[in-house]
Amino acid sequence: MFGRYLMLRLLLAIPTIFCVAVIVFVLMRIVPGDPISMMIPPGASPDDIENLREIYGLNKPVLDQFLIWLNGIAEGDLGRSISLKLGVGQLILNRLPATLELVILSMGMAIFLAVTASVAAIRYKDTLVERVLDTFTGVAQAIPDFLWSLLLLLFFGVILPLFPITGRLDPSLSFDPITNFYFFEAIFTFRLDVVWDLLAHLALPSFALAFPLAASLSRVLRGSLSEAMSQDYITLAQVKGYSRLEVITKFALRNALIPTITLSGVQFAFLIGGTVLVEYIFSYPGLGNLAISAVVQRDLPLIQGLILTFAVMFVITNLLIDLSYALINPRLRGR
Amino acid sequence: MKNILEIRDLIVGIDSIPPTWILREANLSIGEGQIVGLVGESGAGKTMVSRVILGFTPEGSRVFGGEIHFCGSKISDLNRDSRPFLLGKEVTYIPQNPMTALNPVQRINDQMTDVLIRYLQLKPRDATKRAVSLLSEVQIHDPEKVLKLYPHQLSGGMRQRVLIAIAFACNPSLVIADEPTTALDVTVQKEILGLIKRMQSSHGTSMLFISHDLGVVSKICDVVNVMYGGQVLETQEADALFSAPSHVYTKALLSATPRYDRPGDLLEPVSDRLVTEMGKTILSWDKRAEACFYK
Amino acid sequence: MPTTSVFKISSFSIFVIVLLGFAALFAPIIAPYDPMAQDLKNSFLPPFWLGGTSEHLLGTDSLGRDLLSRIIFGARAAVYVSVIGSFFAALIGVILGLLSGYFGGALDALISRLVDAWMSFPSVLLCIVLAAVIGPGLETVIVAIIIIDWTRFCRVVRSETIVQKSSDYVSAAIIGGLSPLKILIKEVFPNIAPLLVTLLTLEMGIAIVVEAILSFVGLSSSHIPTWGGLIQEGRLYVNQAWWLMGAPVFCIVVVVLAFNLIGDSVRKRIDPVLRA
Repeated sequence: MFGRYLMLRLLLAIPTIFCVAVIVFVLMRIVPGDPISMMIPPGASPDDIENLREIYGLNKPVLDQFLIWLNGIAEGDLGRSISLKLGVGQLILNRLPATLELVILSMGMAIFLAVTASVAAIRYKDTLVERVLDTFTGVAQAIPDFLWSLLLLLFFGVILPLFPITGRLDPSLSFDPITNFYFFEAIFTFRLDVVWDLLAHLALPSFALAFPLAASLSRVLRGSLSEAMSQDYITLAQVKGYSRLEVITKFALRNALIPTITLSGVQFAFLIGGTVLVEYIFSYPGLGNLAISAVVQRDLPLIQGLILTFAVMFVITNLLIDLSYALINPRLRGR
Repeated sequence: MKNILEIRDLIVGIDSIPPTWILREANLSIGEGQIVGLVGESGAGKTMVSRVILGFTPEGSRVFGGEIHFCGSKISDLNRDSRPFLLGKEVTYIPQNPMTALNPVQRINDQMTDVLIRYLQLKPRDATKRAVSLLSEVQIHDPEKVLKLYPHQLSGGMRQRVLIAIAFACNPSLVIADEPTTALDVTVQKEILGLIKRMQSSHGTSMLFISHDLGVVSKICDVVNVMYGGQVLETQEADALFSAPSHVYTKALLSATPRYDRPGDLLEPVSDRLVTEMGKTILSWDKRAEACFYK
Repeated sequence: MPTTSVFKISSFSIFVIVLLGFAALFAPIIAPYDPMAQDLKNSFLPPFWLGGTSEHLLGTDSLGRDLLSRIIFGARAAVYVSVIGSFFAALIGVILGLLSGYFGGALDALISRLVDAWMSFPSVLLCIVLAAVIGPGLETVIVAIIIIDWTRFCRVVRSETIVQKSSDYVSAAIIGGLSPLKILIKEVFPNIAPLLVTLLTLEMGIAIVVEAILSFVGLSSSHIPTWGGLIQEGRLYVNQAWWLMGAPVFCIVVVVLAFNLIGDSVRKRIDPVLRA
């Protein structure tokens, strides 16, 4: 039953991704200026330029280019990057794990922070704790991840140099991973020094991404928690002899998560967009960093491929959110 | 007979200036193995009595006078942590509305076994076994299957049965039932009442049964207390109360209740004069109390 | 107690915003130096409290340019871009929102779909791609702000128009024979104007961040100092002169907080409308 629902959602995602593909493609073709012009060596002849166009298929009509691109995608070929002169698919696959590690860590951190803050605020309602948390939440939400990155970099990377501010892994550590999922691989091969260094590099960017998300999550979560706390089943839990903290974490929290996921599921997907700038600021070798350089270099095939990748990640995140919603809400599970 | 619970001249109010009185020298005692009824119209303070016992009083309320004794030990304040019994084990509660009283995201099994694991230190598997026997005790068919379900998959009557099973799970010494049949269908009501009575006598539990429905109370209770304005006006054995009520208010209440055994009788609403008179009594009490506590 | 804190907050916000406006308007007069004038002998001077001189209060950058002057001119760029961007975003959003809310039907369905689709994609990504398409420049940033943020206005104005449309004075105007256009301009618009002011306040804070992001990534004009551009340069030398990045970051954070605090206090007053 549930599998069918999932299949339906996946099928519905395909037109969305297709639309994104079309929009990106059209946008890229109305760019004033010639992407080829950036890569011509000085003194190249018109013939050379024509050759380059030929190689990248830029001399064909737009519709043909689109069909060739679509056909390529279907065969798993996203074209060749103009600036890096490598296959787009390969470039993206190399960088994807780094971004995924960052995204997963940030989301996890955001959920942890939001749940802790909301539970504490409800547990210590009408006390100083609640007011302090209120202020923190307000500031964390007002400042976007872009500014958080810069602030954290300044304070905990430079003025108080606790964390490294560039890259993903200290090159002096000899670590030859088979996959690009450094973090998972380091854990499975028991390279604790590498795990530690990866975490140190991830700390600032993931906090920057997590803060605004945690703040907006905890606003919604607190609302639904205090709503849940007035329900009859909470009274019964209290009469069963549970302490206030137990009542919140064991009874109210799971119920409150249901409306929270509905109301703020989109925010998770938006975190993926945030990685672009954060990775760039911390020179973190992920997709976002690649995207900025592709945009600055006007590398059409690479931009197209990257946007498509982001769109797919976006759709998958939304799907996972729907799934977790169904998992947490028993009313949906039986169907 | 020993009393499980005794409330003597209990005065509870919200600590404002002047205080808002909720219980005005209320008296109540629950004997061992008895079902004690507490009737009265809404606002009479029935629910407050149950909350005082359980330790769930509204914010800002405090005890101004009187005493509460539970099994001989005195409870002097409203703080839940100072209760001389384990809430959920020795004193339990059957809620009014079974539709909303179960946690919607937990299976019945988890909601039943948690108290067993917590208070009787059972292993989860043994707790489930005990839950199965409890469910058959409250006459739920196929208890193994019901344990795997979520509340929304059960009917209102079934849910109330589950809640009764939870209330009796740890063999409590006192069960407080707050209008346990009000939210149910009339046909289900009768079954649930019978069930509560059976569970009470087979577990030998004492019970405080709160209701606004004289008919229901007459069927189930040994002793009945009539409440009005935060005071217990009359305490009588159930039969005696219905055959020979002593307080005018009880009389008025009884003649306002339809009786199947006396189809010819005319129903009489509680007269305006009586209401005004009782209001006056309360006002004069309040004045005395204010003079006492608010100097 | 609550009243004093609200008072403090709003006076802080107003102070910051007035200061920002002042710096933007009179940049050429109040800036101590030409923001582009290089002085290679005096590069990387620290701010005065870190051992610098009182001639360059905030110090100088890698080319010896005065940081304070560059920040003041950066404020000018930020205000210019966000005021114009917000204005046109509001204009487009209000027009489409009014039409969509008032006429309903297929037009409303079309515009609402468009807004939903627009808002379901991360705006930062969208604006970087857009800016890359148009090419770098101040105008690019303005266009990006308009294209991203018209939806905010459109949504709120649409729902508010629907509310206003069902009110008695609009019915009276229809019975009186006023044309839809006149009703929208003379009856509906004045009633949503206060709401619009709030939205614009909130929007200014957002626009300033967008400006900073685009100039940080190098998609704004490279010929004038911008806050994002200053951050970008400062990032390069952050280990030797952190204040080059610290100063513009500080400015943006303070401005964003100021606009947010004002927006928040106003939002609380009109919450039901904004939530709809």
